[in-house]
Amino acid sequence: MLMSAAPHRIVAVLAVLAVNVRCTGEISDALPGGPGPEVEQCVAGPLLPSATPLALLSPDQYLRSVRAVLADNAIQAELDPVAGDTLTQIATEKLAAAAEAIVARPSFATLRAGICGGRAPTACADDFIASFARRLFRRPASTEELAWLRDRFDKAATDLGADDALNVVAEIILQAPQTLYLRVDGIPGEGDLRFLDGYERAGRLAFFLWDGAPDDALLEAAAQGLGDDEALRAQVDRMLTDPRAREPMVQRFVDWLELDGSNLHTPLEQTRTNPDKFPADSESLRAAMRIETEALVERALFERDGSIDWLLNTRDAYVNGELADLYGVAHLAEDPATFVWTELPASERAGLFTRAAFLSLYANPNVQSPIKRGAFLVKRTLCVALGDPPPNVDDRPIEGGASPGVVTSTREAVTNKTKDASCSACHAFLNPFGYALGTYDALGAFATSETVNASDGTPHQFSIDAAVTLPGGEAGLAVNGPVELSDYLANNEEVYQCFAKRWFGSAFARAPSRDEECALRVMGAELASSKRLGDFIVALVRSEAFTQTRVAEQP
Amino acid sequence: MSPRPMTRRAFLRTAGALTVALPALELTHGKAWAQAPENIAKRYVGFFSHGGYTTSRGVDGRLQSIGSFFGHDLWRPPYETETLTTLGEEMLPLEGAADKLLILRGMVNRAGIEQGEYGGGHGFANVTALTSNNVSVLTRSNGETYQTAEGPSIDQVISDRLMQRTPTPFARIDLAVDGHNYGTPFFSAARQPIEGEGNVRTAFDSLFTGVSPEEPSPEMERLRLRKKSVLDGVLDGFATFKRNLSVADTRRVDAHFEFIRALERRINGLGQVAECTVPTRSDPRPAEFTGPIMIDLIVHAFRCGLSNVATFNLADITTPWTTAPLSDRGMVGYDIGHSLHHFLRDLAPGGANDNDRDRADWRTEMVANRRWRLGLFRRLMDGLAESGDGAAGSMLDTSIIYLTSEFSRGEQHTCNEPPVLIAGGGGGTIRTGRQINYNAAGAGTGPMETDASLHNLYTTFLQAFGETDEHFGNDDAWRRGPLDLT
Repeated sequence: MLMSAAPHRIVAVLAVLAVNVRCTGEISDALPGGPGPEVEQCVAGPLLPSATPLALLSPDQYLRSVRAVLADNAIQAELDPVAGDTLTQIATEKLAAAAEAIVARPSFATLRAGICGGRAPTACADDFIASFARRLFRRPASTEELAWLRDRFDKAATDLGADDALNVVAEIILQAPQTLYLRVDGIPGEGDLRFLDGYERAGRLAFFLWDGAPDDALLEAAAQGLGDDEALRAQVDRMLTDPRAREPMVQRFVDWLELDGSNLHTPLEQTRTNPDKFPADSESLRAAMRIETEALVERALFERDGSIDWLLNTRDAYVNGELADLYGVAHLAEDPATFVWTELPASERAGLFTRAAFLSLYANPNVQSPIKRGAFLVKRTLCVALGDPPPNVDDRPIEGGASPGVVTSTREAVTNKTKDASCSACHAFLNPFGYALGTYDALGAFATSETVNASDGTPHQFSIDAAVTLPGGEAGLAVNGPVELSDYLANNEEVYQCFAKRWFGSAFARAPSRDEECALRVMGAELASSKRLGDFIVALVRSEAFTQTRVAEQP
Repeated sequence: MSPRPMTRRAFLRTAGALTVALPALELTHGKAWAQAPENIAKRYVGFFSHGGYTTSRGVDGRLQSIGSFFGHDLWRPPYETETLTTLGEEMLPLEGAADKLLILRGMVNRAGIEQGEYGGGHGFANVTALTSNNVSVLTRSNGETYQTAEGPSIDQVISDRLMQRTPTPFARIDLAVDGHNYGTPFFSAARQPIEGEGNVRTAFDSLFTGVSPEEPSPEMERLRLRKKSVLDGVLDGFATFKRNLSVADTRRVDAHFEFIRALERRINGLGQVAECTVPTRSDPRPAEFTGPIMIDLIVHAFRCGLSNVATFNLADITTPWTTAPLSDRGMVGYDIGHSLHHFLRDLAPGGANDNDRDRADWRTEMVANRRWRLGLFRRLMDGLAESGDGAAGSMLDTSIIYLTSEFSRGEQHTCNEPPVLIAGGGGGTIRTGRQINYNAAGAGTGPMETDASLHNLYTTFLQAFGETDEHFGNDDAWRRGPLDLT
């Protein structure tokens, strides 16, 4: 069900689950009672427009755009990620090298020949410039821009010959600010309000849904303005069912899970457990974990109508022989390398956070890590801001075994080590999320017990206790184990509110302002009701914030 | 056993083994400096080693650390005399070169202390370490916050000033050993971080493409003309694009414009260094090899006159190729150097690793790690010392090489007393072979008594390059003005 586009304004008292909690871990900063539910008043209305800063294309966005224009998916280039809010010197250099390499490709020659036909370069220069610039600039070049590029062609033709001059102009376009920045000026409205023109809407839409430039069909629709709701909705429907939506949409979840690494952990494929304890761990198993996660996300988004609760609760699994062994299920294919869909035991697994990719990435070499798993869930599914750990914290892995005078389980060891007031401000809140996933070892295999060694090497076996109390209601909510945890998350409005904030960032390439966060609460609540990401995307695209902008401070 | 100082022959041999051959002393840029006045620094290298060193300076400015490590300092020279004779345990690779070194103690990154969490903290310490400037906390589109500096780092300001006087193809050269760290300390301007190139092949291509030992061929000249034509065209496009942009966006686009102009300047300048010998191109290597190769590239680039300013961003990596008994026993847990410092807590009385073996192994591994890093610093010193600079002596004599870090002891996350190590005479502006301790409390266990901030040091650097600045950075310093290092 689509959200109503009619403007509405409500005043609501919203129960916010620790959205603004910031626990630094310092004793002096410890929050009374630790982080927990907090009530905040928020005047919530429609998502209104605000000023739109230039958005620099990411390397992925740039390459997707160029690949689409040249119909050449093999284009690769070493481009630097955006380090701050500006391009860097190295990024500029690499872009120049990439532009040179792109123009040297056969696909560029084909494109050029297609535009020029049999005409000489000088005769087709204007057509080539107009066509190539339109695709890269995501709009027709202005008269002034056409004159600039023609002038460069003429100068290059004098110095280098007309044939190479066309390539020079192409390299200029590939590095031009008009190509590299997503810019929104808008058509003047009342006061500082501006309405995005068709091309600006198309650009914003394409980079949101495809993480790349608009195609010809979208540019043609843009030429008609994309102003009415129906036209916009038609394009959204077309784009979301287009194969080009799949990779970037899945990648957003990969980024969310940080499977490609962060400053706190290595990428999934480079993460390794202790081979003595986990001999099954291998490069191929790690690759299978990623394939499964991406397949699950893709199935949720494109075969289950964007259902978040399905993703958080499903028992469907996409496994090859190695991964099936890890999950303890049959692999129904002749070739162990073949991936097949199967169903995992209902008592053991439910949803994305019970899968090996997540579980093994947020683990330690010898043992599971309730802290890493819990911290991820609290930060990334509930959007609770955890501060930095205190300066003298020991961040080495916590393992069960010999503590002074007693042998402890992993859970007990974590509890003991984080019970100081300086730690518990955060850990009392986040550890239970990790404890609830205690039935998975460091590689993600299901286990009901764990063996730890005492200081003299004597093995001790502990039954795993995955029963916890999570925030909810006055006394908290009792949750026993990962399947119940997944259900808790899938039915928690704050999870959907968090999704709403994150997808706002994807759509607008910036974090929401305070006012926008309030407006997002309404849309997040609707997402929590429908549990369908597609509905939220449509609502976001149809919001005034998406189709309008405001003038920022001028020089 | 003390390592022998690296001779020119040893440097050549080692450099060759690492696929970079040292060029002959071509030095076309000697001409460029011919008009430079006496007593002025000509070149600058910012050597940033992430993660701190093995000291005991804590968050509150007092000596700290645990148990048998209380008060220990493997960085500090063992004697308090001004003349530098014996170096600290971690500084073994620099032995024999003490006369070319100046160690400053009792320094404080006051901008980091004043603004950061815990008197420092990762983000704040990193972005203030070389900028001494204000910090802004910004939010990424995914909701994560990060710190950024509101001004350029000292290397950038020196680079800007030098480019006005003695332009070179590269305004600056930024190289790195990639690995775990909490953000670059280098900034080209407010909110504009500089990431060094960590790929040795890309670094080589970037520096030496177009540099030829022979007269440029007509084909090379044509390629140069072509690149210039492209960049000119891109620059033209900014004129229409900048119209009606907001203040903030204009600043960003202007920065982008300047980067392209820098590229163009380099292409224009390459003809002037065409006589320079080009080193051999290297394939990407692990950090063990990347470090020395990057250092050699800086030396080569200076000798070829490609630039007068370089930065070297050395991540907080572990060094399993050195003596690393804790890592060998799988006890560090992460492949990041910062965990080594955090390990200290478990070595404390009552900690999980409260035993002599683990303490000894920790010390061994930490010292080996820091010595490896300082070995790179020594390599840079030797490379420049072997490069003549006309009547002024060697390039080392006319350069300032500055090593620092964001912290003193990494696990304390404090900006009190970060390592400050300077090599080179700065063209007569810096008197080496000494240590200066600005901490009036001396080696006692009480809090530091100092008024020397990095603000003052960076002001000194600017004046060493002939500038007249009376202050660098924000207003967090105790006082304005330079330090007297002569």
